[in-house]
Amino acid sequence: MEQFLLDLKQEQFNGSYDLAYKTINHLRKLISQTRWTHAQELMNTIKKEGKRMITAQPSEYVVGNMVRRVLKIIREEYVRLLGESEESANKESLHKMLTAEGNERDDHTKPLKELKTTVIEAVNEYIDEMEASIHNISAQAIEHIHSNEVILTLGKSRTVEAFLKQAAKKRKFHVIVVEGSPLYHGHELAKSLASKGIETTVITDTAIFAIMSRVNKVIIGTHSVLANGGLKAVNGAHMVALAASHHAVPLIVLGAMFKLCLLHYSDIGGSEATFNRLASPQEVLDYYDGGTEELVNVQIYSPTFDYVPPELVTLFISNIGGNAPSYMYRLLSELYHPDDHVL
Amino acid sequence: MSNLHFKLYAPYRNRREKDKNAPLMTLVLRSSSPAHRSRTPEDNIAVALDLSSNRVLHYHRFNKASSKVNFPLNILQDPKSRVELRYDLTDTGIWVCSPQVPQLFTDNFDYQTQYDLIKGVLINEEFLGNQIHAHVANSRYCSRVYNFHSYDVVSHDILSRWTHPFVPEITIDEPSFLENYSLLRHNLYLHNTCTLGKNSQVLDCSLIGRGTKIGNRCKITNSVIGNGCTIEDDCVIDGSYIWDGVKIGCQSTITKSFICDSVQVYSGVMVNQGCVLCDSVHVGPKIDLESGTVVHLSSTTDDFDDGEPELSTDFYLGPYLHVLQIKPYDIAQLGDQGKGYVWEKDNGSETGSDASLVLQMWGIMFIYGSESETSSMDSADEDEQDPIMDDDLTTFQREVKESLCGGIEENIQSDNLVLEINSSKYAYNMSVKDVVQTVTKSLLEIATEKTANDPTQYFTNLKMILTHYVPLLLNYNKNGSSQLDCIYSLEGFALNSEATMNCLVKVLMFLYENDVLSEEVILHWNSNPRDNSGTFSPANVREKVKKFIEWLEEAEEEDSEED
Repeated sequence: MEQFLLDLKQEQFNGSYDLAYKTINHLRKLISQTRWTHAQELMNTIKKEGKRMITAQPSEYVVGNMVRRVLKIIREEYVRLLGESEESANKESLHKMLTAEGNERDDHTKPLKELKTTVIEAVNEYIDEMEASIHNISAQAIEHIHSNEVILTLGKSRTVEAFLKQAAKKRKFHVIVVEGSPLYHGHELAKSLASKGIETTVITDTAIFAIMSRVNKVIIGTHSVLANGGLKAVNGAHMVALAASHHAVPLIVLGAMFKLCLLHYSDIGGSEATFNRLASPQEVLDYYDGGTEELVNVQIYSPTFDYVPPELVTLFISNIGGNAPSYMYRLLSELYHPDDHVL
Repeated sequence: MSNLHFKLYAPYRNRREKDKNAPLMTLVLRSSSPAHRSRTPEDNIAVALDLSSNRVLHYHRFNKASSKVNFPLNILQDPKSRVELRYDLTDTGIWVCSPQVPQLFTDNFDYQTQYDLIKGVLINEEFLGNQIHAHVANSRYCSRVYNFHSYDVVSHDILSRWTHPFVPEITIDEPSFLENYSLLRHNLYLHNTCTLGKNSQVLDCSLIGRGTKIGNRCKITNSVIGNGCTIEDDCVIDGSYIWDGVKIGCQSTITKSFICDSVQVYSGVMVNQGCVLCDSVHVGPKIDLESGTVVHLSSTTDDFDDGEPELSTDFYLGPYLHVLQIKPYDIAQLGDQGKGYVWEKDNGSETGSDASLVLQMWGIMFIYGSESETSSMDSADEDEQDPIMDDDLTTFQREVKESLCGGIEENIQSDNLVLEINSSKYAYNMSVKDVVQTVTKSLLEIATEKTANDPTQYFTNLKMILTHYVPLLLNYNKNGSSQLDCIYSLEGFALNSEATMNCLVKVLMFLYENDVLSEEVILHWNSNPRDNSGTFSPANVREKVKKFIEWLEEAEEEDSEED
């Protein structure tokens, strides 16, 4: 557990999928190894551990998502085992609210013998679903990419890479990759695509607007999807989105469902830490130059993420299909229980 | 303080695998320009590296006096090596060592510091076969704190996030995970439990600790304030480091200082830059602490047992303290409610030729023609600045004078001296004119120094020196313009020296007789006084020399008559 927290703090994870996978495995271990008698106790344990993990790295939303998802799974399994149907338990209809008596609210304290096994099974199912998400997304590639199209992408996203490679099996198209300074991940993506025989061009960030008029679609991956349908994507994505909307080029965002978060975009009082991660200025300006006497009062920022407002996004493709950004908030209720919104 | 990845470990491991004994350790060095903030004179190194194998061939640490380094020639002699001489590296203090290193330290008990070890290993490299490698780390941050200045630099770097991910809002572990630092714009780190008063501003690279209360209308810039502090209204804090539990009264100004745990600063105090207030000191109301003051609870003039100041007595003995105090607190310096002693600035007898205590702590920074923090300490470190600020001419003059002095004492032949002076001339890129002037001036200066006690002996000494150096002077005064330069510099020296004035005639006569100076030159000089003046003016000089000139003119006429 401590090692996990340390890794979180030092950002030793390689992408959101990796982090999500490790988090949920950790939670599964927690469920199977800790002692608990009923569901409420288990949920409290998970909430406590979850809070610790979230505060270790508040800018990684995936951790919070996994914790809430597990809590939702526990609730569902509990209800299912009790024999009630899922729909009626969850629906808070107006009628129910008027006629219900206060103490009928179930507080999940009935000890159930099979709860442990069913919960672990459900979590395993969820893990399998996650592992298959990339495959599910790329299976939809053929419908979205047509022959002789010019596709623009930014940075290096594993989902986008798999998506394009899948489409390349049947169609012939051209990809323009934006290199994405200061880390230049675009170079790796371009090499990888070219090795599969896809015609690739690498351009600098400054050339995006100029090239956009010749582009048919923009396909990008994202770090997280916010509750309002906005994106928390790699820095430079907002620039791409604005250029695309100016030229009326559709922007397609690929992301698995575990990336969908409950949180909205907030920039209260310049509070940077929870949304953006300001990394070392070394990426932008070397310490040799940046640490000299003349530059003592100059502040050098290297933000990792960008916020893209939902108006600029045309379509979300996730493992359960395509959705409009304005619909994303509805999917939240399927993933997370309202009582878990605030841990 | 570093955020290095230990990938650099891998080449070191490979090296060890190939050759069990030779690779001893790897130094991690970081490149930074000589004018970089993080370099202080205490940690100034010049390194010779072999690029093909990353070995350290020579390592030199500059001490405060010298600014020259000698690289031995044998490092350049290996045909396979590509040698680089570098002055832009700092030693980060991170060394990847093999298990043999502790043994070396025990074997050689006079290795007091890391620097001794490096020097020892490099010198003994041939016998023991130990090699030191270097890794220049440029893509990550690494630095160390060894004096106040580097503490300041490294703190500023951490707040500017150069050490990401080791930054305050991620790394500092709080007892309850709900209380954490928030990162705000302009690199501000405010703890969730701190309180800021109305109209208070925290600007630019600051950190405010847990439970700290800051009053109204304060202004805090570039500072670090610890946990549990109370800062009252109208304070201005700039560039300072304030530790835990400090209380600062209203209307105080604190500039670029260190304030340690539990200090109490009353109202109206102005703490100027470079001050250090040690633990639990009190500084009274309405006091101005001079720049560079160090205030400590125990006085330096007390007798120390085992050299350790007895701070603990304050806590244990409480009411008996007044009996044990040797001196009362200095109210004039520390105010009515002051508690503590000001450490003397000049520890001349104890520390010998070192500069004052404060300079030792802060480190002297290089001044490259711009105002810096240590401007208030200029007078004390003028000596230190000279070697850096001197230009070539002065150094050359000094060298020539030394050579000439040595020449007289050791009775060296003039030819060798000419060689010496010529090589200095090339080294400092001096013109022939400079050489002539310098030689003349040096000879006169040497004579002056010799006759410091007895002015009447001046000419005798001077004549002795000149006699010894006639061949040297002949060598340098071969053509008319050099001779002119010689006379003018003679005159220049004489303008300020009475002894020289008096015997100027004899000097000129001597030089004329020995064919160092010719008549035309002397006459030309006489008729063209330059616009110099010292204690005397050229007119005075010409008066004194008048007789000589007349004699010369007659002699010339005689000569020309004979021809």
